[in-house]
Amino acid sequence: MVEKKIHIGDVVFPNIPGERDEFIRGGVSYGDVTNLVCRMPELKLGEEPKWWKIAFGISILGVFLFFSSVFCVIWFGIGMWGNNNPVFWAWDIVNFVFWVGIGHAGTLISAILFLFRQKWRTSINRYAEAMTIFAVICAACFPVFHMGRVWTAHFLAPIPNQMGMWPNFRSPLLWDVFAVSTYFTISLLFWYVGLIPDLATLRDRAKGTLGKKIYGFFSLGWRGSVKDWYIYEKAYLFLAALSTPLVLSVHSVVSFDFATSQLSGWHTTIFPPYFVAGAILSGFAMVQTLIIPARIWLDLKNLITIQHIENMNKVILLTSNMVGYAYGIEFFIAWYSKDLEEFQLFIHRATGWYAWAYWTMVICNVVIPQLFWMRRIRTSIFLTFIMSIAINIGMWFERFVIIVTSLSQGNVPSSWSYYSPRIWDVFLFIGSFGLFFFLFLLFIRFLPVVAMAEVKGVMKGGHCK
Amino acid sequence: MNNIYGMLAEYEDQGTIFEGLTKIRSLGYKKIDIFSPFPIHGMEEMFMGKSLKRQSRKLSNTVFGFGMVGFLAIFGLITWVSVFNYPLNIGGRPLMSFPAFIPPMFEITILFSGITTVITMLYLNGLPKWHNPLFNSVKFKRVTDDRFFLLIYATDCRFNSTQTQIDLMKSNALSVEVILKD
Repeated sequence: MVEKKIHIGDVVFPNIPGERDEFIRGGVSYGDVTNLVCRMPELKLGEEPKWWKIAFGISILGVFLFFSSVFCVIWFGIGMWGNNNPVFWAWDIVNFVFWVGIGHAGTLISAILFLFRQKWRTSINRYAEAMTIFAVICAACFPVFHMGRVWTAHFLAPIPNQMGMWPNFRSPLLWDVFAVSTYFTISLLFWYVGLIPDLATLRDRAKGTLGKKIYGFFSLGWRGSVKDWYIYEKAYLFLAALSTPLVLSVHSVVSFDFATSQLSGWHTTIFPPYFVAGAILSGFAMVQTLIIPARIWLDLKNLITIQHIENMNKVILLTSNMVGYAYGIEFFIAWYSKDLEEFQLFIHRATGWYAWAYWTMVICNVVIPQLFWMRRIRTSIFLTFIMSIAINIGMWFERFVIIVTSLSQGNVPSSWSYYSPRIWDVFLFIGSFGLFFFLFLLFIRFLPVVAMAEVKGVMKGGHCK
Repeated sequence: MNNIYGMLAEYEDQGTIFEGLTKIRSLGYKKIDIFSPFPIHGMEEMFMGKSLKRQSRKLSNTVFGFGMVGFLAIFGLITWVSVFNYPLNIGGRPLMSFPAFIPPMFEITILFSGITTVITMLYLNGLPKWHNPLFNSVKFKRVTDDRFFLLIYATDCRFNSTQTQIDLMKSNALSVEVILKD
C-alpha cells in the first residue's frame, strides 16, 4: 500500500508564537520561489495544463452568455428583467453590491494588512488584488446596464454639455460613481506598481521575443537599485495608506444608496460599518474559494501554506460575528425605536415571503462560520473550501434580503408586490461569473500570481542587519 | 577607458554583498550602486542617507500638493455647479450643503494623490527607461531572481580598470564584469 505523502505546506504546526513567522516552507531558496511562480507564465501557448484549458473553455461560454444577455438588455430594454413596481432595484443592484463587496478583501489584504505589518500577506496579496480588480469590473457592469440607456452613461460624470446640465452632487448615486471609479483606478495602480519588479523578473527570464517585448515594456526598465527600491517602497506605503480609507469609504458610500432613503429597513445608521464588515467577509470567502484550488494546481503549497488559510479563516470568523451582531442590532433597533413600519418589515423579513432567503443568509453568514472557532476546522482545507462557498452564497442572499424585502413590502401596503427574477437576470449573473473567471484565468496564465519580490523580502535572512 | 560604464560585481546573498560594500567603501570608492531582487532594509540609509531623504521628501510633498489641488478643484467645481451655475431647489434646503459634498471630495482627493504617487515614483526613479547599459550583461539578468550586484561607476575618481577589478575580486564577489557604454 502506498503511503499518502503529506505536503509540508499542509502540515499544521503547533501554535507557538516564535514559529509563526515561517510563512514560506519546504526550505525553498530565492531561486526556487522564482521558478515556482514563473512556471505558469513561461509555458508556451497551447502547453497549458488540462484544468486550465477546461476552466478557460467554460469561462469563455460564460463570457458569451454575459455579452448575449447584455445585448438583449440593451436591445429590448430592462423590461427583460424581473424588476417590477415597487421592486425597481433587484438582481442588478444585488449583484452590484455583491461584486463590489468581494473586491474589498483584496484591498484589505494589500493595504490594511500592509500597514499592520502582517508579513503573511505577501503570499496572497497579488492574487487577492487581481480578484479585486476583476470583481469591480463585474460590479460596474450592473448599474451601467440598469440605466437602460447606456449610451447616456457619460451623463454620470460632471462633463460640460450642450444642455448646460450638471449631475446632482448631493445624490448618493453620484457618490457611488465617484467611489467606484476611484476605487477601480487606485486598485489598478496599486496592483500594477506591485507588479513592476515581478514583470522585470519575467522580462529577464523570457525566451521568446514577444514575451521579452511585452514584459519588457510593462516592467518599464526596472533594475532594482537601492534608490529604486527605497522610493518604490515609499510610494507603495503611500498607496497603501491612501487605499485604506478608500476601501472603507467605498462600501460605506454603497450603503448610503440605501441608508439615505426613507424606506423601512434601509434608513439606518448602522449600514456603513455593517456593509464594510459584510464586504470583507464575502471577499475573504472568495479569496479562499479561489486560492485553495490554485495553490494545489499551481504547485504553490509551500508559498501559500495552511497558516495563510488559517489566518484568513480568523478574519472570516471576526467579520462573520460583526455581521451577525449587525443582524441582531437591526432587529433590536426596529423594536426599540417603536417605529411600526420598521418593526413590521423586520417581522416580514424573518417570517414573510422571503423568510427562506433571510434564514439562508443567517445560517450561511453567522451560524456556519462559528465552526471556525475550532482549530481543527480552521486548518482543514476541504472544509474551508466548502464553507467559503457557503459564505459566498450567504452574502449574496444578504444583499437580496436587504434590497428586495424592503422594496417589495414598503410603507404603503397597497403597493406591495412579490418579486421573482426572470431568466435574463440569471443569465447576466452567471455571465458575470464567466467574465470574472475569464479575466482571472488569463491573469493566472500570464502574470506572476505571487508577489515574488515581496515574498523574498520576508523569507528568513531577508534582512541584512 | 572612455567607453566603460562601470564595473559590476556579483554576490551570492545579502550578507556577502553587505560585507563587500563595506570593504569597497573603506577603499574610498564613492560612486557605487547596489542592485537586488528585493529591498534590503538598512542598506539605503547607510550609504545614500541624505540624498535619499531629499528624494523621499520630494515624493511626500508632491503627493500632498497634488492631493490638495484635487481637493480644491473638486470643491470648487461642486460649489460652482451646486450654488451658482445649476442650483437645484430641493424643498428649500441650503444650496451650499457641504456635508453632502464630502464623499465626492474625499474620493477625488484620493484619486489625485494616488495617481501623483505613481507618476512621481516613476519620475524620481527615472522610469520608464527601457534601455540601460547594464541590460547588456547576461549575468545581470539574475538581479530580478536571486543574485545581488554592486556597480562601481567609471566616473568614480578612484576608478581604474585593473585595480578596481582586483578590489572587487577581493571583496568575495562571485564574478566581476566590465560594463561598456552603448
